[in-house]
Amino acid sequence: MPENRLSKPLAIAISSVSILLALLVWQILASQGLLGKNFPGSVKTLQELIWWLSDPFFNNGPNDLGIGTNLLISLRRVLIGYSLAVLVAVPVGLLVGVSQIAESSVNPFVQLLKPISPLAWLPIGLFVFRDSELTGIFVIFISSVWPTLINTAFGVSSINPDFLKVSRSLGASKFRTIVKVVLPAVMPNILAGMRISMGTAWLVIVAAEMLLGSGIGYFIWNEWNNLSLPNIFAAIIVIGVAGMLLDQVFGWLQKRFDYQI
Amino acid sequence: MPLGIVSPPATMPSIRCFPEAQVAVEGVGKVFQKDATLLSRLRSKPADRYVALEDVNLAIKKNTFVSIIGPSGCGKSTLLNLIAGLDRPSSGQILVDGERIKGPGPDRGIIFQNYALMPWLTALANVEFAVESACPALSRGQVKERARQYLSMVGLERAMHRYPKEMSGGMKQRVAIARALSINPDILLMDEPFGALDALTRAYMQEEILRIWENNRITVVLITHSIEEALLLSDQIVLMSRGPAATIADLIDVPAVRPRQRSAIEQHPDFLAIKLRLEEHLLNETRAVEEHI
Amino acid sequence: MDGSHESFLADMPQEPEAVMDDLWRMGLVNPAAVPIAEAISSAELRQALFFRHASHGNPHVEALLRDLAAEAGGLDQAFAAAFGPQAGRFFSKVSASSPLGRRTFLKGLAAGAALITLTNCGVKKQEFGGGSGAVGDLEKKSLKVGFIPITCATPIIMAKPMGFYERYGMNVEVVKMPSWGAVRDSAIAGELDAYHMLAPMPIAMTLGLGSAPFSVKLASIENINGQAITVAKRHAGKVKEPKDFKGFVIGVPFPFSMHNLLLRYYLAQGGLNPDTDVQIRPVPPPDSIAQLVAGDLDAMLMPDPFNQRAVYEDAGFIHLLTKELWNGHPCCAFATGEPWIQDHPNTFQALNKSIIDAANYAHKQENRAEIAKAISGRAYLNQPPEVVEAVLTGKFENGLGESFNVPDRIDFNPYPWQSFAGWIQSQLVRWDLGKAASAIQAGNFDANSASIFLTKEAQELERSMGLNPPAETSRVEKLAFDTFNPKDPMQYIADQKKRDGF
Repeated sequence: MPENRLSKPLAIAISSVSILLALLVWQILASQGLLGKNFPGSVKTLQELIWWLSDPFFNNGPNDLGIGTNLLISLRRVLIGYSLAVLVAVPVGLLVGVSQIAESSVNPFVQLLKPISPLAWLPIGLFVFRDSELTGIFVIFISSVWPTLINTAFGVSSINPDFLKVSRSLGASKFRTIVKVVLPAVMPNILAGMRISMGTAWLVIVAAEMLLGSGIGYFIWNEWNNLSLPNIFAAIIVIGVAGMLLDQVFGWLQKRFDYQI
Repeated sequence: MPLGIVSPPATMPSIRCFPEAQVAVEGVGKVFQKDATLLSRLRSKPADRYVALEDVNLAIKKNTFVSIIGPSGCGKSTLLNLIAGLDRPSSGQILVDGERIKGPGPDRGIIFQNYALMPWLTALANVEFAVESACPALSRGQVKERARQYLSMVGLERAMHRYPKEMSGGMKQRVAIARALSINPDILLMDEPFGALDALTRAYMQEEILRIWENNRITVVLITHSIEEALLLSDQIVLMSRGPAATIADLIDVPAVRPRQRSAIEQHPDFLAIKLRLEEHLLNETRAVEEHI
Repeated sequence: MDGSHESFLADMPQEPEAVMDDLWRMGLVNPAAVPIAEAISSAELRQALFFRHASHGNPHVEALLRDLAAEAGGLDQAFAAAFGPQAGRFFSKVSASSPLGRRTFLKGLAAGAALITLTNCGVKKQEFGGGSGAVGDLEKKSLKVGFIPITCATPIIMAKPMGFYERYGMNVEVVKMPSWGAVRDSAIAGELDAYHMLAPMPIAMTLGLGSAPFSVKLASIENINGQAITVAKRHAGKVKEPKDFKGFVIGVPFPFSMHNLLLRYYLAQGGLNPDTDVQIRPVPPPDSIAQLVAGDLDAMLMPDPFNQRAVYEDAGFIHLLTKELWNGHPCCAFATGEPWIQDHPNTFQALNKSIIDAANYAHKQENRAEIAKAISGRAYLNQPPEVVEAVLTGKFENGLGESFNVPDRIDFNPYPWQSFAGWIQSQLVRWDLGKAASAIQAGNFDANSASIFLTKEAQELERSMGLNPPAETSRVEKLAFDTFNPKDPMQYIADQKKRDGF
């Protein structure tokens, strides 16, 4: 039996209740010691989180920064690496979709490099770049370039052939066709790929920042050194919320470019 | 003046078979090959090779309205593609105004069954795109003006800024028509343009086409499944045999006067005879296709 | 020579030319003196400038110097005065055969002697022993030094908040590294300037054990002692001697570490084969405690403060301090790549001095509590201060309800004995870690030690700082279960193998 659509306020209310319930269960389990010794409950975690959020931008030197500062540092790295990835992935994806020669040349690399874990790229990057910051950005780049590239190429190869026929019959040049027809036509695919890539980039930053002395990923590792689980959970919550917000941006973009072809 | 079937010339493509025709299809065959590498062509098995058309000869006079009708899979669309220049014949040649065609071009406009409108552009922008591509010398203002003009011609001046997803099927096809005509083609090729529309919209669109064509008579080649549509719109109906190796089965003139009236057509003395003849042909061919195992 | 001497020295420009500039600007130079100055011979001028430089602009010192020289009847004799009466005769003999000619030779030596002697004047007795002012120009003043957040790195870390780096004219950022592997990779990449390393790491990296060969030099030892064998709480009461470790999974921070070598030493002499009777695993220190609790590890030989932290978290108990295996054993080191040293010789010296100073300050028990407070914060060790204090002061609980007071649980003595390098190599060979048995041949031990451990340089540097380094660069090392003679490492290995049976 099909359900009627929930009104938006009701849907939000249900989500909130669900979260509160989860926090409650977490607190109970932790305080009863059912999650292991010294496992912090949601109350302690939230206390830590509030403490961190109360002064998010303090700076006591490079190894001791506020959570807001660390988050911004990570965001900056992600955005740089991610932007480079998109700048490379979209043109290469277009080329691969349009030209079979390009596809045959590029495809083996895509298949070989795509499954490599970002953690494996860390030492390679450090060896080549000799600089932790560049290495971090490189690792983000090399991990997030694939979804956008693949989706773009797929979009191009599955473009409605009638568009190309129209363009050809109108006498449009190849360049004009690519820019004015192919690119807009595959924009939904590109955005879908970019959305996945952003998720990957944000995921990778936590691993990549083990090497770097700042950022939210480093923060987690530093707190792990002190076996401070509440701080780690607080950081996880911050990371999760940030990732969700980034994802929402793409959701909004996708809606804007929803042509309903 | 009816033109009969002429036997194909085997050689000497420089001699035109149909000197008076605007579009001359001479001895055209089309073979589709799976895996068209040299090696596979040499050792090609019969199953990989599909002969769509064989020995098609057709002459289309300037500014006539020609319909092509035939059973499913008889290569109508293939033929249209060849005339459009979107594909090349495997044998024979196609001449437009005495010149062999080398590919698609703005002299031949195309209308597709599923409209092929770019969904990220408004109706106006779609037509502008066509005008810009085909007439690069025009200024921005001139392009816009032209586009507006043709949209008015199809009755869509108040819907210019709508996106395709906000339009009905009929409206979309009208935009497509405006787009195709806005570049002043010599020939208009239509591949089952009203196939996706419901019967009433279809009837309405047929009227629209008649009206528009009366105001600018250009050569039209229409592919359709509907006998009534062919009778209503065309000067000449080309009947194709079934595939594979389809060819022209018959050529029928439609003697009705213009401007056409739907009711007048139905009451014409020869109407019924032609209709029955077409129906019989189609039914036979279709039966053969369906029962061929 | 009072306390203001040091500040006076700090204020004065260090170059003779700069001194002259100042004097000009202050209007203290009589313009009429210029033609006179031009008339003076360059040799005399250089002498005068040497005196000025060696006295650091202090007129008293300069006057004293000149008096000394006059007393002794010239620079040569002044040199003799600096080095002792016999020195004059000895060097007379040498200089007679010197191609430079006696006068030049002696002048050069005298200038050097004066410099060395008088540089120490007035600062010898002060807290921060050692060179004031620049050791020549620093090639680089803004530096990055990597460290791992363990108490072994105390001198490197404390030098930042307690101002030791600043004293030597450097602005150092101490960079926390995530693991020993990352330190190795970073050093090979030449990313930072200098590093906190495990004492065997420079040897392993230079000889290409477990990584591509890369020349690393060990400048000084960060700490001696300072580790412990910690056992999981669930084994309390059941572990008394090496045999009780049979079948255990034991964590160490890195294969090329004193931790690994000392653990093997302990187990082997107790009859257990470390490769077959137990499973030794490299584990990052913070993970070690969690693994201890979870049951992945039964025991560990880790750097502090993680042993004490395990007690604090009620995860384990301290079974043995490593000082009981070898009192005074090296643990961590201050090291850097050879290419960096070649490019930055003066900066390297200055860094070294600040670390040596810090180490000497940390050696004193009365300073330990203060240091613990300075380095416990989030930016450095990021550990509860009471844990760090327990480690540094040596007043601790062992997790079995017993309290101890072992002041040299961890200690700081920067001198990098050649015999340390010898012992490390012998153990690497014994266990064939990283294919050491083929990389280190019988005859190479001494050459390797001499090239990797900068003992002679440390000796000279400490002397120049007015400290009293040992006269020897190598010595016989007395461990708990045997004695290591650096002159015959192969025999040591053979004896060990015979004793232990494998």
